[in-house]
Amino acid sequence: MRVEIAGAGLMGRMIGWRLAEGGADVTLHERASREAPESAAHAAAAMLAPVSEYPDADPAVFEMGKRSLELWPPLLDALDVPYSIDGSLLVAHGPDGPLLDKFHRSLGVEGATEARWLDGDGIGALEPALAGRFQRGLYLPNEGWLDNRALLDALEPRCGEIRYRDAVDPHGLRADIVIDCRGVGAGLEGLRGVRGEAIRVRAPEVELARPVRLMHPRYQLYAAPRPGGEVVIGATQIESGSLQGVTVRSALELLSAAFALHAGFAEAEILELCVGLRPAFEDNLPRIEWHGGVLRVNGLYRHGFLIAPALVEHVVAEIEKIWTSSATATG
Amino acid sequence: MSEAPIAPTVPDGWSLYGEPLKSRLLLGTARYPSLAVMTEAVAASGAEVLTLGLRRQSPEKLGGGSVWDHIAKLGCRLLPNTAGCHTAREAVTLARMSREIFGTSWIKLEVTGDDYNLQPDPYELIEATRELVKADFKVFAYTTDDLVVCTRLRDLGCEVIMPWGAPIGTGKGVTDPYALETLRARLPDAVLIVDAGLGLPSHAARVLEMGFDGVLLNTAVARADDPVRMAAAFGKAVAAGRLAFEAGAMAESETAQPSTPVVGTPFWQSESG
Repeated sequence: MRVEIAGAGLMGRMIGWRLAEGGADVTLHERASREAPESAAHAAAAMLAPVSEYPDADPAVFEMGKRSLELWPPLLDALDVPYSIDGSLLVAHGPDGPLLDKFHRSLGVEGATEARWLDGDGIGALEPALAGRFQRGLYLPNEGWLDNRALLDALEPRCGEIRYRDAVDPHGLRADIVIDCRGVGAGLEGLRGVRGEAIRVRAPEVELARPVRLMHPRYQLYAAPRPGGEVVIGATQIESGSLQGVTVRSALELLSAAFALHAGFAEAEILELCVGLRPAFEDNLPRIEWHGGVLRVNGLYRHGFLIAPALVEHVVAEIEKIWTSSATATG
Repeated sequence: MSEAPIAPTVPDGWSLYGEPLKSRLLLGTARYPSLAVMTEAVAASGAEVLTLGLRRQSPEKLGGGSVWDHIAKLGCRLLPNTAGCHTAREAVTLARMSREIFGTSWIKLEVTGDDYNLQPDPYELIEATRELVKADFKVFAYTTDDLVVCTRLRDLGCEVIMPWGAPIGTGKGVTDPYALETLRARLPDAVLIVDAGLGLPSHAARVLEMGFDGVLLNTAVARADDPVRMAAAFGKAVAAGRLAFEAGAMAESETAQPSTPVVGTPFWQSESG
């Protein structure tokens, strides 16, 4: 089976890997260069946080997120990609305490079983770096993070041949299966980019074992750990399709919120300011659909790493339907 | 038993800068869980005017194009805002840009003086209003409840003045009813819309009962557990509040006053009642 994939972001690579392992001959076409990736996956904090996303996301995302939490560990172990599923923490400063209550209430019956209230001591026991800084918090045991860039790198030699600087129209590709995973670049009707900005720092004074979310009335800040003392501080969410560099205001917001989380961030080294466009349909839900012989997989919004393995299952099932039926017809 | 005829939920029309409207609820478009939820909430609220901010969307590069298109398709009148501006100069520049983009001279003028409270800066606000009115903008000025500032805005030709009920996003409801009552009494001919700080439909109803012309909301709807239902609740509360204002409330009294005379009522009747 010959497979052509437009777009070598997270979905393109994951699907390519899965199909290549099954013996398919896979080629990926990526508009950006290898040196200057533009995919949302490259900029992402890659938190595996179905419960944290629950209040604002569709229940389908929660279900796919939970399924993906089961699927990720064997995949990541096989690829030797750093990850951890050891819970996440939500904290708020005194005046913003009602946001924690509101969040807990929004979890409903289903989500609430996944959350545990912590007092100041409990927070300190989990994350010694935050001891004495917060009086109340929520611990969500079934959450985690993965190293997004290590994953993208590990997939590169395994997902087929990636052709960089190769913008293609998927409808012009000839193969047994053509898949369009171009994200915002696909320019589909009803698809928009939601700009996200994040800052990567090396913060030797702030040792975090798990992602920490700081609740704030206006900013959604989280700090997600990476190997080697690195931390991804994210992320803004702006209704804009612009990929211009991180604005001063966004940088100030992210960094001052990080500083409010832990004063040790003041001495952190800024490694990179990242910008990505999350591809989103009106309902913020992903779509897998055939269109003129091309399988479109798009609209992962801010949930790419959260739901990717579960979505790949659906994509593969879709391809098998077609491939098996056409193989039967011709064979 | 036949029911008495129900009064229309929308008792009267009103207008903003000559544009006739029915609903007295204006709705913001930020912070909803998704565009789809926002779309439903707008429909449920009955709002005919939507505000939208473009400050952070790289408007000079039309960065927010797709979301603007989506909002424009909802069939409501657009009221672009200058949220995120800190000086008159910034606000005027953004207002000009949004007039280009949206083809409307309506502008909700917001100039922030304090970043924590998002409290309006009255000095910059007055300056920006002066310039924008001169440039034929229809200014909707977001301000604190300060009488002097509101009076100046009116004198400059700002027809729609939007005092806050409480700091933006707090959901506290009207924190200083005296100040708002004073505004209403002293500026009887100005269009006064309470913008920001409301959290519950009862807050909105109260503001309309006080004689304010309308209410502008965002967070109270967008961050509710179910924004669509909350939007409907606010729509009804605003209509109810207006209806009550037009109906004219009874006079308050310090002591209980039965609606039937008590003289001659046998003691057993009064005890059981």
